[in-house]
Amino acid sequence: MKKLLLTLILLISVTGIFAQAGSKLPEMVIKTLEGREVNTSAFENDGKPYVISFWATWCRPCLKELTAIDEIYEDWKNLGFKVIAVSTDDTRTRANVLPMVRGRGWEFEFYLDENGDFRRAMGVNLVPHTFIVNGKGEVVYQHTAFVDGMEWEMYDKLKALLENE
Amino acid sequence: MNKKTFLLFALAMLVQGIFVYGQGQGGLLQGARVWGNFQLDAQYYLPDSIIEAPDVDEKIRMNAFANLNFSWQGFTMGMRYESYQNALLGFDPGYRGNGIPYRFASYQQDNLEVTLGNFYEQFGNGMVFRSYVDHNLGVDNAMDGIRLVYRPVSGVTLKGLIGQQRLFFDKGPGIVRGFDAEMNLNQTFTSLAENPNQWMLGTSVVSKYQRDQNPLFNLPENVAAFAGRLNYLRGALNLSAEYGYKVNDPSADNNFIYKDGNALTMTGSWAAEGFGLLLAAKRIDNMGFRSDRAASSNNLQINFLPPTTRQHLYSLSGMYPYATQPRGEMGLLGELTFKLPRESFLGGANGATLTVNYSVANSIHKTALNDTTAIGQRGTKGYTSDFFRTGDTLYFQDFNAEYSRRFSRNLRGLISYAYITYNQGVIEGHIEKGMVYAHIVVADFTHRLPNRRSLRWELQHLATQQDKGNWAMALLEYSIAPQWSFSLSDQYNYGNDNKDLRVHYVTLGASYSKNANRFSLSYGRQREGIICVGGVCRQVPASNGFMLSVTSSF
Amino acid sequence: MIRKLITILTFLLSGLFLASCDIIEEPKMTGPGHNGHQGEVVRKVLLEEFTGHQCPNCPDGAQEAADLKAFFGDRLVIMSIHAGFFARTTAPHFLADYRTTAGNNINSYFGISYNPVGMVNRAGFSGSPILTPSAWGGAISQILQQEPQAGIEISLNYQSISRQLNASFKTTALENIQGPIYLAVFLVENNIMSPQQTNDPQYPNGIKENYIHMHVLRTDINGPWGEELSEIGAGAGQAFMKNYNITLDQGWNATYCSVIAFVYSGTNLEVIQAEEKKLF
Repeated sequence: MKKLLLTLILLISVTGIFAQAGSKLPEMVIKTLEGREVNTSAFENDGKPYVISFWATWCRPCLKELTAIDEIYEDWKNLGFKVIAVSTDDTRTRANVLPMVRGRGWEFEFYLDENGDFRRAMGVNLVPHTFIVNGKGEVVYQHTAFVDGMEWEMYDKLKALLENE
Repeated sequence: MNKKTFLLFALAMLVQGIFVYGQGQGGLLQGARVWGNFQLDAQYYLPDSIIEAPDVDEKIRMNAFANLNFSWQGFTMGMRYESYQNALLGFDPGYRGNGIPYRFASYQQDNLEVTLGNFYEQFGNGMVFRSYVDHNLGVDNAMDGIRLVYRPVSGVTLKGLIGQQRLFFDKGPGIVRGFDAEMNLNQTFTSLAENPNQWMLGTSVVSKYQRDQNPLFNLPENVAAFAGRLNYLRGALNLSAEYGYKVNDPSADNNFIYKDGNALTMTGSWAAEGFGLLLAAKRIDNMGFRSDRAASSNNLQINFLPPTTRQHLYSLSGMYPYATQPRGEMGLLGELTFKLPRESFLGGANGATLTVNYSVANSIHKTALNDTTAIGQRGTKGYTSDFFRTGDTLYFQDFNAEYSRRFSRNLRGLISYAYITYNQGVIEGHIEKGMVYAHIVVADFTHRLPNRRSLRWELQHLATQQDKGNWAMALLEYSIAPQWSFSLSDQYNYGNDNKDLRVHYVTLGASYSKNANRFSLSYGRQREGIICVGGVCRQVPASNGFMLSVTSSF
Repeated sequence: MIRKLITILTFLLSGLFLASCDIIEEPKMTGPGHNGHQGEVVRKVLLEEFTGHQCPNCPDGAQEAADLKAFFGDRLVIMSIHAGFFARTTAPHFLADYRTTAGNNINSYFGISYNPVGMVNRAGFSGSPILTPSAWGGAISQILQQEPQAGIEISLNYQSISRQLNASFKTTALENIQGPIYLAVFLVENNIMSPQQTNDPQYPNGIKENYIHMHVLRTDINGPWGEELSEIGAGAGQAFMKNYNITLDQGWNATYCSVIAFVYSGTNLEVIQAEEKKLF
């Protein structure tokens, strides 16, 4: 019985992976830093690809990733790329987000996903977890964990997507 | 959910999956989506009596789970399969065996969203209701029932829910019902849309029912908690407050007293370009709230009372973490973040960030009801407490400063100092242990090397005369972007009073991550640690052995 | 628009309903309530408390047990099993060793990993027989409402000089009982004074030196799991006689010793009836 279950789960995951090649973002309601509700279906970047990064103020690799992108953000902005940073901080650390983000001078587009609804709907387990969305709003790449140098890898991928469109 | 039903469900998903594969070519289910994730943690335990590692008969222990979800046109369904063969050391042994403890179906149309089955939800800050999951801590108080979310007009959200909470692979005995209303005034009233003053108001009511079968006491079967919150934002200023009140709720948490409970949290922050200030104050009095009076540790909690202290991210600075005391505490927190400008003395060529933080938590002041009743005596109203007076016992105090800067194109570093006062007796529940005073210094530097390689090193030192004495730690991490990372670390308890316990905790690790998959393997000794969630800490015993971790998302 | 208003109204009304709650003015109960009995035989319940002298929360559990004993009197039979991590001996305070072979056996069989916890008749309430102290009262009341299925008569003969105890047990089934049945017999001692870790702030070093340990399991009399009375169950009226001899250890105070006997089902380990008798 268990073997059958396992096989089924594997089969579905495999079909899932094929289906995933270019799937749209789920429609969820999350909050801006000011507390306003927005729908994730409204995420877009004028037809250009962009990055969605799930992070938290207590997650060191997440802070490293955002700091690393921040240092080359001028280059990103020049080509019209942007980062949507969704904070998964819960009540304990949520109040830290606004002062930390402004205090560090980050210019990304920030949102709060306090109880993890959007995170779960994107299949995110551990943070940092970053997605690249193409101009048509489809998720084309994702990575989990952050290693120095990945910010350039993402920049290259974004440029490649821009050239293809 | 029995096996036959699951099989049918899985078959249905498989069929949908096949249709979805054809979606690009005009398949039957346009826009259908299948997604999920998977995590496995396994540990092979080696005996090690020096660090008092417990004997593990099974040798290998494993926790694993897999989420599988499907959505199409506003309709979503999903499930999670969990397996504990047996659960890793440090996890509650109630997690045993396999099962599907989480499954749901939800539908969204117009402005109404209906969820049947398991769901997670939070009202406001979670003071009276929060249902969430954290697999690495072993916390999951998912609701199993019905939830409705309705947004009648822009900016107004109404939520209603009813159900029972998850307890391992079963459910708690209590029934929980809740209702929450929240209004963002600037979104609802179009006349205020451009107003710089932004307001948000919210209110919640939660009540639980559990039968009274106790022969000694007349226990209330319905216990309700109420909360009101508001949030104000204008430019750089943000103020928010939430107040909660709970009626008599005698339970194992508060030693069966009939006192009501209340809590107040207030935060204020100023966030300007290059400068952030955060101030928070809170007071909690008897606000433990569970759907089973007899439950303890992380089980069946209905609400969430987070600690207002800084969460430390390094091994030694995180050795003495604070856990909220739901029976009563008062706390303050202040944090300042500034970006030191370029070319300034401390800012250097590229600017730097300095964060200074102070937090303190104290007991609340309790007065006995009368001469013959002890404070907190079972079956009585417990005590009275003056709202504005602090108690005599210091629970926790933390002063820390952190300086981080990019020194050059290839060198980035961070230095931090923390002075922590930790009431080990109260927080860990061992009265005979007193206060621990610890000075902790951390240095964390990353060198970027050619060919997308990087080397990171950490040096940490903890100095204290209590508990286990001084510790020193060194870590080296070599990464090859974007996939590989290798690390070697050693924590050395050189200051232990007992010479036999001056042990090195050496760990070797490697991890490979490609896209959304990550594999990591480590070998060595793990120091015993404390993981604290809310008001409860779990001791993770010391261990020695191999640890394998696999995570994947699709 | 009307639909919206109705939905909003329904939500608000449900909010009002949820505000229902009970405010209790008279916390304490009086009177023991209904007792199950058949003729003169009264249903009795076994509470096995897992504890240890190095467990700071255990005095709370012992207090709960004592409160319940005061409430239920003879109908509650308590046995405290000192086993596992919290019962270990450590110099200089915790030198007394209350661990026993039987106790260790039972403790590891049921997978007891933290103290204080207990089992009421070894019956599973919400899936597990292991209950925290606040759940003991409810479990005991529930069982006491049931009729007794068997009765146990104990007669003891103790010779002080030789420290020999002869114990006889007559187990009578009051109705048909299915499946194998076992009789387990133990010796417990009350009023033992020795240090105990506590979380009471009155004791700043966390140790109460002259703590009184009650109903401490000293030894099993017929094996940790007892002796089988019958493999095929018993019919109403059927009786079983058993007789055992043991010698009391020099360190035990016979004046405070009692014999505890219980009959349990071999199928699900649940206790059918319990009984206790003092030596003096």
